[in-house]
Amino acid sequence: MESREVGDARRAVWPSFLRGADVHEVYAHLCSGDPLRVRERSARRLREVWYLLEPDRVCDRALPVIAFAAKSSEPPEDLEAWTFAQIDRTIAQLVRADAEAERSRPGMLTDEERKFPLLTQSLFLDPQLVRTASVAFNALPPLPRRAFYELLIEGADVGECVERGPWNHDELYVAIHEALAAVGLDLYSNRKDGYPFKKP
Amino acid sequence: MKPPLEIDPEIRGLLEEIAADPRSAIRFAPRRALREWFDSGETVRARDVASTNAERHLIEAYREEVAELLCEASRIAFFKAPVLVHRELGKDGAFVEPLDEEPVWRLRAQRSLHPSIPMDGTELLEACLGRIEAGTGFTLARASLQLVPSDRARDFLALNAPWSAPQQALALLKQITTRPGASRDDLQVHALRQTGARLCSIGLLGEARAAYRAAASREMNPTIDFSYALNLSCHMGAEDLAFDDGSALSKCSAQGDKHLVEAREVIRRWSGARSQSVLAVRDRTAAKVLARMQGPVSTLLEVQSA
Repeated sequence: MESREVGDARRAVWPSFLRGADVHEVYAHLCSGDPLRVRERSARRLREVWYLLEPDRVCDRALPVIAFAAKSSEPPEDLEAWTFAQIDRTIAQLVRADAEAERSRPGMLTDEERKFPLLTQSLFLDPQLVRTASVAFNALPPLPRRAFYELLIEGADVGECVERGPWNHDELYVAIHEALAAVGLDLYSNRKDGYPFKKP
Repeated sequence: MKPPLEIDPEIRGLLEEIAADPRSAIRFAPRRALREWFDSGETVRARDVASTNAERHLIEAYREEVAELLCEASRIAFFKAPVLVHRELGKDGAFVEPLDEEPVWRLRAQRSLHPSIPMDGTELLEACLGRIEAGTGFTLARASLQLVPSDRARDFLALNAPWSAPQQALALLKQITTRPGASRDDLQVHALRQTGARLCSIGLLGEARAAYRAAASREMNPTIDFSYALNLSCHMGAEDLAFDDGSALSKCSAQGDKHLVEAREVIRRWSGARSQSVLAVRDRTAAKVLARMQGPVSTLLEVQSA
């Protein structure tokens, strides 16, 4: 992070790509070559917070969020942490917007909402259902979401997952099935006894 | 090279079942870790964002920014004329004074306004740059909700709704509390507490108590909620419920707890408007509870009996 000496105080300043006469200019800087590595950081952050959102969509929204934030706040000491904070804001906005859209216009999706290759190409979800699935998934508590990411996205084996997580084998089993149920891939949705979420 | 994807056999079975489906695109996708969907290789998936969608993304992000500012302004406006609300504790253990946030809000709002981007609600923000006026909270929250529907905006709209129109507030709060997975726990707790307050205002004390107990089940420190529940149990003359609430309060609170002090103050102001006959019922029930419990329960109930 750049800084300048001002008297005895070191003051942080925005790097050139976060400076501009207006927000349009800053946004244009950010879009040109992605100097802040927003695309890479958005994808990485999704894997850390375990939300199911299309990474490109997060990046596309994060760029203007960052541009506005750069024009309305003081430059931070830690630009990377600040960037991740803006990406977190973006993720929260999209999670909320999807939930509101699912509530207010069920079954009506925009092209952007339908585009989610992870769900449509790897998990074979109908594009018309990706928002329903991701909204249900993102409403889950952290543990099922984490189980999904660790087992399916990161490809960790069960033993490794149990060792580094806050669960034993049975709890992990319940967690992953809760996550799979949200995206319609579980084994138990037709069981009347509610197993594995309720004791048979 | 990353080893092949290793997942639980049962999960693998699920995916293989999907792959066996002749319609499945997974049969044609290269076998690779799903993580690759999240690996952003700039050369692999580089896209030109500065295209026809760029302006739309900019406007959507700006809409969120303006909506957030309007929401925060509505909160500040409410606290310029608060009605029977307790103060929250900050992370430093001191009470949060929302009005102290106005100068910071003003600075952020000044910097965030972009006249080159037309957006509803900016006129309201500009009007607030001089001063956020008490009584404007409802208008500000409604403008926020119209820009970006959110449970946070609904919560502030309910907070600022007139007490003469409780059903409007209850309808808004119901949207939040009946979809628990859709919003944060702290928002759920706040909405449940508001529900309790509004139900109290229309005399539905039992339902109000249930709302506070629901809030308590979601709150890390439920002293406030159990305090309000205990108060209502005593007003209803429901001894069993009062003992239950008192017991719960004793487990989560201690003498001198700041939350307890705040709850006591709100209850004192609320009780001031109750009739003598109602207060007599409360006092009889409180006396029975106090005969069996001390500690934080006595801190809360003794003042009421004074």
